[in-house]
Amino acid sequence: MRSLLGVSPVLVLTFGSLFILVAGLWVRNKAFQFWTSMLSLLVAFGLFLGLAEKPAQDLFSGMIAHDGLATFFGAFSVFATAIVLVMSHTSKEIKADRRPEYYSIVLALATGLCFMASANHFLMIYLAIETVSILSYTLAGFKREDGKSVEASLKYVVYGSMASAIMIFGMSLVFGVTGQFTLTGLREFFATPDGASAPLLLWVGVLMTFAGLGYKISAAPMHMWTPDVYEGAPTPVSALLSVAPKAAGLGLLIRFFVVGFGQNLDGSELAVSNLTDPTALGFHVTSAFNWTQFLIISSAFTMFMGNLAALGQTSVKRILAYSSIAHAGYMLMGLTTQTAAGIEAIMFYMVIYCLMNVGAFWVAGKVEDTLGGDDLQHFKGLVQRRPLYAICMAVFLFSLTGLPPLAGFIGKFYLFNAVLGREMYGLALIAGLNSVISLYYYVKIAKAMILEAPQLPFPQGKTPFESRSSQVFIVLLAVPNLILGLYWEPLMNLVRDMLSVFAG
Amino acid sequence: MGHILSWMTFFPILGVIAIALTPKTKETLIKGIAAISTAVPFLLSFNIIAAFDRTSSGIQFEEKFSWITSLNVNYHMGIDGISVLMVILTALISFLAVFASLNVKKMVKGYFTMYLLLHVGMMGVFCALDFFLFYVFWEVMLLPMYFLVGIWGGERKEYAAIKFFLYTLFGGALMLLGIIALYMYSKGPEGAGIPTFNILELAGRDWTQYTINIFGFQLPFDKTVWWLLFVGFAIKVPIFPFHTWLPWAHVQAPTAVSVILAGVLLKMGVYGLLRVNFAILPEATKYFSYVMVILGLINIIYGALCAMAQTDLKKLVAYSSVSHMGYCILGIAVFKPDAMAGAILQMFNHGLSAAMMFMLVGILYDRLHHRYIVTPQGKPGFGGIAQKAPWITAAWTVAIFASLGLPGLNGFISEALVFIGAFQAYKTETMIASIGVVLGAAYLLWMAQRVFLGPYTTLEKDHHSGVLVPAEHIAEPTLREWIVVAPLGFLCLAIGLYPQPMLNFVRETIGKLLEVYN
Repeated sequence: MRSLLGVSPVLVLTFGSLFILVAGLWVRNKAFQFWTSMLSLLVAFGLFLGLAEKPAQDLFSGMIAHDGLATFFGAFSVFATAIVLVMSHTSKEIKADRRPEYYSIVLALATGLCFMASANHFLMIYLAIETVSILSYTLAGFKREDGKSVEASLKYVVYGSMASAIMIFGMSLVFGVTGQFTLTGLREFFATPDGASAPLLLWVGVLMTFAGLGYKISAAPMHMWTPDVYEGAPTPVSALLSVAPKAAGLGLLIRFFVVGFGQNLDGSELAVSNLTDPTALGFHVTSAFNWTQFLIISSAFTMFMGNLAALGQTSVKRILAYSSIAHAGYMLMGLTTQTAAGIEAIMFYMVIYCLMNVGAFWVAGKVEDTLGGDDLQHFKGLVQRRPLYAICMAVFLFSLTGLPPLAGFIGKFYLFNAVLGREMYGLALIAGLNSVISLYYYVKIAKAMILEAPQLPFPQGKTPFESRSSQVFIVLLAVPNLILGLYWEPLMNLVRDMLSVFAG
Repeated sequence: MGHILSWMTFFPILGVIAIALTPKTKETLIKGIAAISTAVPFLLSFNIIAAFDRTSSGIQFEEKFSWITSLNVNYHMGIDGISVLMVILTALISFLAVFASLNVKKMVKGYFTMYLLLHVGMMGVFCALDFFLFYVFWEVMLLPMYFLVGIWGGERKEYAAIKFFLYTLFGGALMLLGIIALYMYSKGPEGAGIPTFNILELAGRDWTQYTINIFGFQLPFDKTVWWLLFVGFAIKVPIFPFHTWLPWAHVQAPTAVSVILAGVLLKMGVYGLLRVNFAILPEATKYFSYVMVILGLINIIYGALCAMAQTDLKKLVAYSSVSHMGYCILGIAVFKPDAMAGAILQMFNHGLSAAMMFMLVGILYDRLHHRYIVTPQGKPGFGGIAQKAPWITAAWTVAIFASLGLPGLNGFISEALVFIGAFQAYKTETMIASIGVVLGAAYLLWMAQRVFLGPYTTLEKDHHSGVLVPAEHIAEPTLREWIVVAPLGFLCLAIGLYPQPMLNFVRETIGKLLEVYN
């Protein structure tokens, strides 16, 4: 019963998902479908808030954990899904007769995300990731009459199955060496003499598991699917995939490292309460495997890969896809530091990243709905036609770049702060350089919108831009980017509170 | 009146809001709002002139309250002798440049919104005493500047705008790392203290005791951070070899923005060096002072030689800015009170004369629609303008002579002070630098001769065909143009004749800043 109460948000989502699927057979009313889905997301979000105060505990005999990290990333996934749901509601890309299925799948995806955020057992990790993946494949191919969408879906399936296979193989190796299936058990194993002299095979297994998780957050070199999928999938789906699974994946990655491999920086056993001290934390370092170095390379590689590949793109959705890879790299920096300050910075960045990235996709989606494409030429002269959208898009883009006084800068500031707190000057230099590189392609979009004259004929009459709810929501996404750039202390305090619940 | 610096910095924000609420067809109203929004800081600057205590070396008009408690970030504003002249200059130039912008036709609403945001950033940089706040203001300028050049600029505006943006952001990224590094190490050797962004507190600590590791190299902390910050500021000055954005941005920017670029933006680099590198990291500054002397020399000579080779009038003025900023670098790098005072005065003087010259280039361009001293066909583009437009020529003459350092005009005073100070420290280098004065006279007088004197050969670009045809007549400056040019010319003359009031502002602060150096 205690366990059921702990997963009550997920139960609500599951029920909502099934309800829409069935009700959709009879009720074809768009608004009804939307509001029922929204209601279940809101209730789930409310339940997460209600559960946030409860102390950390294991549920279902250690299969999943209830703690600050799970609550934060679970609630965040639900929040992001809700924003994307509004976006889907105003989008033309989702056909009316497929909407019940669409909402149902999106809600089911949210359940998977919540489980990803709280999974504490290898089996649970695998199941949660597969739930999310399989539903993502379906969503990516949702415009099934569009060849690109189908292509995206197929590519996603191929890459995804490969990544899952590698991951489950890795997990079996880890189990084989340690005899442990839970993350908590893994850390206990390291405390034993066997753990101190674990064979290299264990680290091969861990690395393969990391590959599977890295695929979800599109960390290089497991990022190849990202641009094709984001370009082909319906825009709201791209927005969802770029934020929610990435957040849940990062949450899982943090849990994986901290719970599974936690060890103080000086080598002593990790007292979990240490998590409240921003400078104290660390991951198991053995002679065979140096986490710090591995994560530094992974993060730097991801940043460069995303930013350099984005430079030559002309499709805005592809640019945003590469930018989301680069942002995964920035966020991995937080993990690289192996400190609570770094983890805080990741969580903080995630919230801001959601606001700016979904906003950017939102505008891209409206342009695609109206002009039939998302190339730079479709964006030309947007400021003369729809100044509100162009200005909001500029806010999102420059926030993604990390220019003050926008929120993206504060997110980057905390990441840099954490990195320099561990004296990783080289990594900080690389990240700084990457911010500068990224400016070029963000400005390319801004330039097309604001500096250049319109090129394509604009349809007469009412366009998707005129949707009142869409206008309100785009402003609701842009304004926090300004406010959080000037005063962000409440958000940071929230993140810290969540992390301290995680610590117990 | 309390919070005067906040009012000066943020009053234009009210203008931005007012402009946002004004329909875009009411262009006159928008221009009026912009003029009022910059007039208020300008008028408040008289209050600063009156109330500034010249006998104090400390921070005046200080404001401080907590902004982000958990990071120990404060809203901390204040000015001393180094910044007071810059604050006055910013208020003056921004106010005058509004009149230079009144003939903007495209997207008036957007233009003045960006213009006022730029004003906020510029004023904020000179007033901020909290490093985080400083950085925010520093970067806030980039966006308006990008759009001002990119939308309202000349033929190659987009290239110029992105070049400026990328260069400055690169510098900004390095600077940010430097700022965070200082913040981290301000906890003290045991790491027990509370880290701080306060620029005044960061000064006077012993930074030489730390070393840091970059890519496996053990480097001294203070020297590394010094370079991170130096490159950030050097790009803004601009110091060779980071100057290549400047000719592009200056030439492509609309007149008013060129005026602001030359008048205010370039001063931020030197100001940053003084406020941050000199005050916080004196050991490293001493260590690298000769590097700065050499870079200053290169700026002076190389900038002058480049200017001499230009056939575009605006580019010539742009390179003359590079050359003139070299005197500022030379002046601060020798750690002599005279030279330092000269350098700060040179910042102010160059702000006046370069702003005036860019305005005058704009006046010629508005009438003739080209800037060729020599056209691509090899014919003279201007010539004998003095015959048709004596008043334009008179204004140009003042600007040219102020710029080349004729005694009696302001440029002479500051350059002379720089040389007097620098000669005490580096004899050979100062003598080489003095060649720059000769070169400066050479390119400016040569330009004056080709443009204003001699037979009348001035061409104008035909509106329709774009072909250069002989210009029938050249109209004298309008009232709007005189409003910009006349005060600048008057100040050039006034400071040239009686510079003491200006020097009084800076003397005490310089003395305090140089205590650690001598």
